Amino acid sequence: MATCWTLAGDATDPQRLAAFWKSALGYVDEDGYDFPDGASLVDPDGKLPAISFLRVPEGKTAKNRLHIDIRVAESEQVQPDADQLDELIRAKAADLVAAGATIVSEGTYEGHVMGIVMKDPEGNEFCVA
Amino acid sequence: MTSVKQIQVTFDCAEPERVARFWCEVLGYVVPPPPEGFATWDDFDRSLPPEHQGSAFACVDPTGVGPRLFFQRVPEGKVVKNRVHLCVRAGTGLVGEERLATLEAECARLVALGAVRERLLPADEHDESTIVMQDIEGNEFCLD
Repeated sequence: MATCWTLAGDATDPQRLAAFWKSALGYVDEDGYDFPDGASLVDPDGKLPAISFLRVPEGKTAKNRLHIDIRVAESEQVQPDADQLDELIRAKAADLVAAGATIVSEGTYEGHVMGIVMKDPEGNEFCVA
Repeated sequence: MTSVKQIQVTFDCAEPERVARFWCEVLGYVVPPPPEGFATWDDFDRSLPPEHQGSAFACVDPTGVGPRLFFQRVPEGKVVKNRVHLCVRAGTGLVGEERLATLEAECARLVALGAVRERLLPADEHDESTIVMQDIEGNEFCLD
């Protein structure tokens, strides 16, 4: 069995980042986690890894070398066709912009969206693909 | 907003395959089978244009539970502490001396694979003990 892992992020405002990522992924607050300098989010279906944010004094200065890729397909096995995938990726990116993210760039291949590079409200890079 | 069913974590790397194989050993992940028509990933890699050879690698949870990890080559090196890191949950459910002993044993195994032990964060009123480590390209992670 593989070892369980979770994700942790540095934050200037953990509650603000948590609110964004809850909305982005459909996560909820971890039950019983009540800590002013941090936040912990879990997948209500219990499948995807938990994510926590902890307040740190320093701000972001360089591109993160680790980032989350949000996959719009339901699973690796069931992939929508290229046109559906374009629509799903663009719709998700638009929702994320409404939630406070920004679009950095869009990668295309043969007229289809390969992925959209975005930043969360504290500038952490992530992709929608 | 629609909820997400799949995520992946991507690492920027100097040597994607080397880092991917390290994380396979850490987590018990495996290298997925090569694309159809190729006997090995090396064969697939040789079919790519020279500038793309060795540019990416991936590893997956053989049980299908944990998300895929993807490793991509980037030209720049690591300059500051990552603001996002993995927490490897080797001590879940354990407390006190038993937890510390489990984490230290796992730390020793990972150091033998090339990881670096940064420091121990002892248990306090909020958190159980954690060992801060770095992978073979200096990416911080927690053993907790």
